[in-house]
This record gives sequence, structure tokens and C-alpha cells, in this order.
Amino acid sequence: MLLKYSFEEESNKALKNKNLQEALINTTNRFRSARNKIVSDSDNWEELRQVARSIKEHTINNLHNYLQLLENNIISAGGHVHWARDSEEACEIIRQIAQKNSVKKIVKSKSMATEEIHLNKSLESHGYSVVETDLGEYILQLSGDRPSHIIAPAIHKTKADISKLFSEKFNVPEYDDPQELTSIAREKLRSEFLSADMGISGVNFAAADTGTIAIVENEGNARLTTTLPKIHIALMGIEKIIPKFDQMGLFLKLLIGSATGQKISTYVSLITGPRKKGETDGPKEFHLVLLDNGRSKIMSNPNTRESLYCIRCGACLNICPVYRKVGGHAYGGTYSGPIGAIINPQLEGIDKHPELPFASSLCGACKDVCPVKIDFPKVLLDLRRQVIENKSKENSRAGLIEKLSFKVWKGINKHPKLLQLLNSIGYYMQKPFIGNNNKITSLPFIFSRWTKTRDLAPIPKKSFRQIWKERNND
Amino acid sequence: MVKENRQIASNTNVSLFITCIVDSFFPRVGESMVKVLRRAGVQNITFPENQTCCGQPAFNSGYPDEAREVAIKFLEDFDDDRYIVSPSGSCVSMVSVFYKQLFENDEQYLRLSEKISGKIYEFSDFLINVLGISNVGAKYSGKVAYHDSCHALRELGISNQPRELLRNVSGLKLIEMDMHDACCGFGGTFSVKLPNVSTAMLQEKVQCIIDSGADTVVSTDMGCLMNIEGYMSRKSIPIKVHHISEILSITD
Amino acid sequence: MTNSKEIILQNIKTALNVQSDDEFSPYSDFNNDEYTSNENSSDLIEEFSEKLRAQSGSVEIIKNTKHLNKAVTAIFDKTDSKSFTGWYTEELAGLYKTLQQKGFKYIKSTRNDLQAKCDIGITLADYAISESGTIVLYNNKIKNRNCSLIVPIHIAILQKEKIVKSIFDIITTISKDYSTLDSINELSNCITLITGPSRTADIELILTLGVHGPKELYVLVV
Repeated sequence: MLLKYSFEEESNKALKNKNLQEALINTTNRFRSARNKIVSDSDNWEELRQVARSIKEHTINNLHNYLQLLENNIISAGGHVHWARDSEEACEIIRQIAQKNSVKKIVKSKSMATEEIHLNKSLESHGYSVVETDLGEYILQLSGDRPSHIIAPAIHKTKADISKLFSEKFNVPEYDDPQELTSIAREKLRSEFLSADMGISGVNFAAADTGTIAIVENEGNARLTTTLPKIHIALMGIEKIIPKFDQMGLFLKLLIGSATGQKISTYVSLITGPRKKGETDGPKEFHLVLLDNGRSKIMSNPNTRESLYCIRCGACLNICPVYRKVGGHAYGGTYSGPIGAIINPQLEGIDKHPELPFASSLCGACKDVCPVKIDFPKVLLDLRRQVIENKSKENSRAGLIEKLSFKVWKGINKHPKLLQLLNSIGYYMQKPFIGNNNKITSLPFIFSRWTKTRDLAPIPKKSFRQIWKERNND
Repeated sequence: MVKENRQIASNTNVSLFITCIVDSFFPRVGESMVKVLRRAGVQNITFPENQTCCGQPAFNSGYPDEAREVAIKFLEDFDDDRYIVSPSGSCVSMVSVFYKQLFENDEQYLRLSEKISGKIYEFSDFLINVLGISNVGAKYSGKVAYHDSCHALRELGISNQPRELLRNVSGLKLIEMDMHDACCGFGGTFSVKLPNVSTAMLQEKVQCIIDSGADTVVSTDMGCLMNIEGYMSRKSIPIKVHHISEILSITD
Repeated sequence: MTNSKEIILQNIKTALNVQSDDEFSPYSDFNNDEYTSNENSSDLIEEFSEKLRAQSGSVEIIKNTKHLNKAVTAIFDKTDSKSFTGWYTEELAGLYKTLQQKGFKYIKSTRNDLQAKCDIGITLADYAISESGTIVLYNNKIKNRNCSLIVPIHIAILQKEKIVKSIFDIITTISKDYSTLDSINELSNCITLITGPSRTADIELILTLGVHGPKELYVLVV
């Protein structure tokens, strides 16, 4: 039985973590200013965003056709395509491929989808050795931790943390220099790559018309993962498809510019199936695993369908004033930040994440930076309505109190005279709560959450409508 | 002020949409707004006395039915041909942007809200874009940092209007603070649902205000300013907090 | 009996309220060519060099074959390298012969112990993108992947006529190359875009080079 996590509790913990706070500021500031430069250097960024959104909208609205087209072309290229309804099935498919090929060791490059299906746990429990090769993910694997940012998964770890970790795991001195630490990882992982039987990667984009997948990275581990082992499995959320190869330039530019503010990442691999006849390296088998896991369910709600346009750039995280304070773990699911707030509840169930749609001030900054123009506030509002509808079925005490409060609020606001009366009553009732500075310094019930850190201007004797009425009666 | 603008102003009929926060907590903001409108030459100003709220608190909290009933009342209270002017970007955006979502299944009120959307303006936007006035003859000695309210900026595109007005205030030095468009942490019920996160966001905003060297912070929305002022007051930070209408209303 | 594919496709169709199997036409409103710049490659050499150098890659403009041999040998000397592997193409055969004559050991790229034995990998660059300092490699039968991947140092020889301006230009180029052949299988199943040595900033956002891919990249523009 899973303990229900609390966003509020987790976020409170995060706020007290000084190292995390510093890491969040540094990371998000850096990514934000890099992205801003790319945008300001571009003379048509807004146009590109709009075009990308239109393509995504069309793609999702014809997803069944594009998936079929993609499958046909991957098979023509000599690859295999598997369809997974959910996490369990995806893990099962991958295990079966491993078993069939007597695989012992598996190397993985960075993939949020593999996190989503808890792949490592499934493979390890069946006796396979799984090695994360992206440096950040490798660090997390060694420390038994989970990613806290979509692009830079280990930002919550300090250099000292990593130094100590490597020293413990590899019996080496505690190096201070990141270059040294990186060299250690390179050496350790190189031997893993050379002895791996299978490589598992994610997919940034898949072009339906050619069966080509694009993988974007800076380290080179994805290239090694998809070249050295004899089997390559690529796991892809069904929404990552784009109609045509000739749209790759547009999407790569938007993804990389939005994610890290680079003009292009160090390596981009455009892979179409396994090695072809006569080639001397590259995987002999290529398997694409298409993952649904709740995506087709998201599609059934036209108000939230655009959640599937996401290309996983992380720009929304870097600008979100909430994410920047609480980090990724507070979101209690695979994804974090604004995208996490909208898809964790939709993929895993609203009852599992009832707080996430409210983990936002609705400021809309995410909407401004999203390369495919997802209207986050609109989706969040729809999810909030769903949470409240669910709550009324639950009949919890807190839910009933809130529901009643809004019925009362409605009643008051339909009757201006009642509102005025309440104002007058409030003026007198507030007196015991007013402090020496003539401000309200404490309040009862939920309002104490305001006055814990903030004063409140007291209600003046006369409201605007009273003043107006009196002036106009003179 | 230019003669033509006074001509426009004198032919403009304005209904005040004061908003619940200003009505109950900050009537002086409403009074300042009226003072400035009159000085600008608007003679025909009314206050539809049945008005209450635009419905946003319920809408944002996931209670569309309750929001809808209050929104219908708003539409009926303001259903005429007058301009509607409000001291809140947030409330104006509720009407001109979000009523479309609220009434998407109701043809009648959808049409009515479209009609009213064309007439409703946030105060600084109204001065600049309807009256064509950027100098209201105000005086204020101080260094002012302007805080961009989220809805005003992102839903209504309000950014240049308040800045232009402030730049033309005699004696006022306008400062652009760091992260001037970052959320202050108010977000309506967000401020009490996640008070620690809200306060952390607010602390960062206040630090930016302090670092800018300003002695005054100004915005278009009292939700934000109530939040900022609440923290400054608790921490005894002597920076003044004003709604833009208050600054614009000062002439000596 | 329905399988997962059918279930997923049906779920999608139900979600989209698809009534029947309508005529489907792929998205055609986007024209990549609208975003290309078609700039002359000779104007792009400087930008390419500048951008790649900014990503810690080395770029040298080469005047003739003698100069090329000299430049490559200098890289070997500078990096204290003794052995190399490379794409087995006609253009590079002469260079390999020269290097062997100078005493550097040539290792066939198909060998299993390439990792242990090899200091340098030599390839051509099929194309380059000037706005980002990127080289583009079409990997295939005689142009294998490991020569630019598993080696610690990668040297790529680039003909200056092959430089295009932007990512949109390269996509047009690749699309054209694909369409002139019968299938992608003829051209390349693995096209790699490389911009400098391998890098990471996963440790406190401090940039380090040479994580998994080559630690050094030298591009010689001929």
C-alpha cells in the first residue's frame, strides 16, 4: 500500500534544504538566460512556436494514422515495433527481448519514459544488470536517488556529495575536481558499454514518414548505447511522433534551444532501424517500443489533450516560480514542474495527485516559454475542476468545508446588501486581530496561513460603495 | 493634456468595476482612480451599485458552477454600452479572457461576455489606449519599481501602459527591477493553500524590490500589492506600496 | 482476439471520436525550405570555424594535400598519439599511407580491440552546419560509427563546399539525399551531427569535456 505523499509536506522540506535551494537557483537561472539568448537571437521564434503547435495538434488528432505509418517504415528499415498498453507490458516486452537473446548486461541512456515505467526495477528484479550511462543518471543510480529535473537530473547533488559517493563506490580518493570525477565515470562506464549485450534509449522525436528516430545528447553515452551492444531498444511515448522527417529541423531547434539554450546539442543521432547489410558496427537488432500508459486516455479530454504536445524540453521548469523553490521531488511522480503538474495526475490518476493541479499560482510563465505553446493554466483549471468533482464523491471533511465555503461565497456575491453587511460586521470583528502597527497580525482558521508570515491591511470603516453612495447623496 | 484627448474623454461614459478587494479593503484605490479619470476629463462616471465580484476565486479553485452564477450576475450588472474601467488586471482578464472558457457551453452568455469583453479595460490600459492620455499631471518624489502582475501582463499584455504613465509623473524615477515579471506568490487561494511556497516566492520578489534601490513599489493589482505590503509590514521594511491609481492621483 | 496494438489504436480512435477510417493526408502546411538560407558555402567557413571553436573544437583551414598531411601529423605529435583508425574511403587512403610511412600504426576499424588500441579516429565530414559549428557524418558500410565515437580523439576532414548555414538547410540536404536513392538503407541508417568534444555539466553545472564521446575534435577544412 503506497503512502500518499503530500506536495505541501515535500515542498516544506525542500524549502528548508539550503543546498537544494542554491542548486535550483543556479540551474534554473543558467538555463533561463541561455534560452533567452537563443530566443532573442532568433528573428522568428514566435512563428516557429506556432507552427510547431499546429503540427503537434494535427499529429495528436491523427495519431492512429501516424503510428501505423511509423510502424510500417520502421519495419521496412529492418526494425521491430512493439506496442505497450502500460508500464507492466512495456517492461515485459523488454524483458522478453532480453531473455530471447540471452542478455546479461544492459546499458541505458537517459529516458524519462523508462523512469515512468520503472524499468530498472523490473529488469533488476529479474536478474539483469542495468547501468545508467548519462552521468547525472549514473550518479543517481549509484546513490539510489531519483531525478529532480528533466534535463539535469542530479542538480540536487553537490560536488562534495558526488565526490564522496565515487570514493565509497570505487575505492578512490575524494576528488574535488569535476574533471577528475568525470574521468572516473568515463572509465567505469566505458567497460560497461563494451560488455553490454543490450542498449536501451529514449526517443526525442520519431518521423513517421521515414521511420527515423532522433536522439539528442551532449555526453556521447546515447551514441555508445545505440552503437556498441548488439541489440538496441528505443522506448517512446506515442506522442513523440512527428509527421515528416523534414520537420526535424524545426523540432530539434525548438527542443534544444528551449532545454539548454544551445544552438544544437553536442550529438544528434538520426537512426533508421538496425545496422544495414555490410555495416561493421551498429546494433544488429532495433526494437521500437511504443508506450501508451495513459496517453490515449489523456486524448479523450479535449480540454487537456494538448498536454501531449510536450517535447520534454524542461523550459517550463526553469521559469516556474514554484518549481524553482521546491525542486522535482516534491511533485511525487516521474515528471515535475508545470508539465509534471499536468501529466502526473493524468497518467497516474487524479486521486493519486490531487494537490498537483493546485501547486501553481496560475502565473502563466510556463505558457510563455513552452515551445509548443501548451496552455498550462487552461489545463490546470480543468484538472482543478476534476479534483473538486472527485472530492465531492469522497465526502471528506476538508472537501465539504471548502464546498460549503464557496456556496456561501456565491450567496454573498449574489446579494450586494449581504456583502455590505458582512463588510460592516468584519470591520468590528477584526478588532481583536489588529496588532500594534494597525495591521491585522493574526487570523483564525485557514487564514492563519496568511498571517503566519504576512500582515493584512484591515477592513476600513467604509467600503468604496458606501463612500460612493454617501458622496452621491450630497 | 492635449485638447483632443479631453474631447475623447468628455465623450466617454465609464462604469466603474471596483472589484471585491478594492471595495472592501482598499476603497482609497477606487477613489484615486475616479479622481484621475475626472482630471483626465471623463465626466460621466457611474458605479453600478449591484456589482460584487467577477467570479474568479471560485473559477480558479475548481468551482465553475458557483463562479458561473456570480459571473452571470456580473454580466447582467454591466450589460450596457458604457466602458467598464477597473483597478485590476486580474479581474479584467477573468471577464475578457476566461469567461470564454466559463461560458463555452452557453451561447447566450458567451455572446454577452464577448460584447462586454470589448468594453472592459484595466485602468492604465484605459488611460493610454482609450483616452490617449499618457500624462495625467501627477507629481511624486520617489524611486519607483514597477511589479508586473501576472494576469495583467500575460493575459492582457499590459506592460508599457503603466510604465509610460509612471515615467510622465513629475519627480518620479522609474526603476526596472530584476525579475520584475516574476510572480509575487499571491495567486489567490494559492497564498493560503501553499503558504510556505507562496512566502518563499514573495521573499524573492521583495528582495528584488529592495535590491533595485526603489523606495516605492507600484502595480496594477491589489492582490499582488496586498501580498507584498503584508510581508513588508511584517518585516518592517520601509518601502512604500501603492496602486498605480494612487500615484497618478497625487498632484502636490 | 485483440492484441495490444489494436487496443491502443482503438483507444486512440475512441478518444478522438473517429467515426470511420477516413482519408488521411499527412501534414503538408510546413515547408522546411521556407526556413533555409541557401547561403554560399564560401561565406560560411569563417562562421563555422568560429562556432566550433567556441564549443572547444579545433578548426584549421587547409591549403593543399601537403598541408593536410602536415596538419594531421602535427595533431598526432601534439597529442602523443601512436595509432589510428579511420573510414575506409578513397579520399582518405592517401592520407593513411602517408601516416603509416611516418610510423603511425593503422588499426582496422572492424577489430574488436579498437577501444584498447586506438588513439585517433579519422573520418570525413559529409556536411557541416556553420551557424552551430556542426559536422554531419553519414555512417554506412565503409564509413563506420566507431571511428568518431569510441576513440579519444576524432579528426574530421571537411570539404568547404559542403558547409551549409542552418539546421533547416541540413534537413533539406538530407531529405534531398534520401530522395535520390531508392531507400534510406542505401544512404545511411545512422546520421550523426557532432558539435565539438563530448561534454557534461551534470556536476554542479560545471562544464567538463570528454565524458563518453571523444575528448578532442579536430576539423580540417579543405
